[in-house]
Amino acid sequence: MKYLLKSILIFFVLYSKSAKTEVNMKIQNKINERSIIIIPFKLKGTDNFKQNIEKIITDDLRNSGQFNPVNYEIVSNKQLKIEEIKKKIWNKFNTNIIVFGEIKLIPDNRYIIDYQLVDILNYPGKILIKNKFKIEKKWFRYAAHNISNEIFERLINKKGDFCTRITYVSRKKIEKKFIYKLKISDYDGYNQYTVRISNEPIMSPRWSYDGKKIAYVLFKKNKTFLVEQTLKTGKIEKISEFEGHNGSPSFSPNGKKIIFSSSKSGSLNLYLMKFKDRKIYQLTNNNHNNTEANWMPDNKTILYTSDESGTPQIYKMNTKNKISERISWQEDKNQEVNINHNGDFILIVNSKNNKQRIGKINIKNGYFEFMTNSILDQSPTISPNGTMIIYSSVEKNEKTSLKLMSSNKKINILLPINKNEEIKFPSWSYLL
Amino acid sequence: MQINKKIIVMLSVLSVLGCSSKKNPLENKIVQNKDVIVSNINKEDIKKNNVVYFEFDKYKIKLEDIKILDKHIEYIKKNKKNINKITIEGHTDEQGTSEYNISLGEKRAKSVKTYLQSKGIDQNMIHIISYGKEKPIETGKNELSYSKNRRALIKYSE
Repeated sequence: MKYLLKSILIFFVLYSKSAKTEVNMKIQNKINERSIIIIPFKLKGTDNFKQNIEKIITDDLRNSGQFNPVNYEIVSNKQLKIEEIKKKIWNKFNTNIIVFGEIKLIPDNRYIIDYQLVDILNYPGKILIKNKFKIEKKWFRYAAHNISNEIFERLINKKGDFCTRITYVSRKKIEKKFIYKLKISDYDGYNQYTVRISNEPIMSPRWSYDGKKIAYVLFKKNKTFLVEQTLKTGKIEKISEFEGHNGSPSFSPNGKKIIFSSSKSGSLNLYLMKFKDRKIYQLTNNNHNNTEANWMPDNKTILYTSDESGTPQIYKMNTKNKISERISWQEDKNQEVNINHNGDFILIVNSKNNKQRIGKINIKNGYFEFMTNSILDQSPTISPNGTMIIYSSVEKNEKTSLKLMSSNKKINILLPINKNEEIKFPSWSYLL
Repeated sequence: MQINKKIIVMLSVLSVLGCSSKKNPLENKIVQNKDVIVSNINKEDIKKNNVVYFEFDKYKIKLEDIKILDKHIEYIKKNKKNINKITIEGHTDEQGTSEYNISLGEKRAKSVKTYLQSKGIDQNMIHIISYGKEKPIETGKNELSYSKNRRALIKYSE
């Protein structure tokens, strides 16, 4: 691999001298597009190695909407000489950022993954990252996501989201009865596992800030319960079990409080529980429906859905003085707000003319835009650095599935989660 | 808006009550039907015919569903000793968001509860629960499926 880099650099010296003007022009394009070449990793002494590390890195970088990664198939169709690879890169892909590395199998089913991120633009080239991981086989995808994170952080100057996870609820009909499962997977839908199975609905799972707990709604014996489950131990604690509905949980970013809705008063109202003494305080007290609350990063302000104007709209409330104001004005209904972790934009579910779409509101200037164009989109959830969104949507087969899109709308893909089930209620973890 | 809402709820309850007590041609038909049904009342019938349907985004009981509820009222009155609890489930179609739809399902269950109460059923016997859109009867994403999902069910535990 060292030889490879050396060859690239030597070639580049010759190349750059003869075609300096052309190179400079290419740089401009490259910076805007953020193209990146991911060369297939060399495999050393591996067993029947099925995992494709360059595909994981390629998908991660592409999912963020910030890169145009060039994948394995395009680059290495046959054994080319370095000069030829270089020529191919410059002539076809117009980039100077390259990732390459090797994977070595060592005893006890462990791997050593070695990689470099190199900028080959200026002689003698610049190693932007050089790193090595020793990992167990089961952590392979995690290690690949970690490489994506490092590349993202080095080139974009923001923490990468690729080691985060999502939780969601699946529903499958077996002999006229539904089976509901609360599940967790990596953000990209891989490494799924089940946290809870029930014959009755499970709703609205939400992560705690530290990623150790999930709060969710459980139906049991014609009642609803709001519970929090510690993932490591499986321990379940009740948050509320009032008469009527107990739902829509949201942990505050500092982990000290949880907000939820209950219909014990006859309509849905918002309540807040402080974890230090588990005392519950009422935030709204009216005959309308107030639900789907979420926290702003200040741990004080919440955004929520209320139908006090006659249709569901998004409201903002200071939880200290309980003063609220309406903030959504798009026609007709606006619901289920989700807040970017730095508070600069929010996503909402807008319903109008038989369409139910995800919309984005810029908090600073109020600018509104539709993100999707479908009939039943809902539950938008935003990745910690705000570059990606996951939401539930109905596909042509009429199943509800999860979709991932970049916040700049460049990418929109279906997550590879079981197609025989309906998948709802995605919730993105904080950075883990 | 609060007052308006209350008036609407009151009117819908009154219209429900009105339909079953005033004498008009339509009402006579209902009473006749009811008489026929009541004479044949049995547990199996009650179990099979335990659903009322609603219009989109509405929770007012339809005139044609009153006879179903009346049949249940007769059944409850006759079997009071054997019935421990009456559960009314409210459901919605898949349009709208999940948590907010809970409120519409709850209103539908309450409409049925209010009618039962107005006909003398003890409210302490009645428990309501909303499943919102989480337990659809049809999973298609079209109006036919939606119309079957906008419903309230009466269930008994003995």
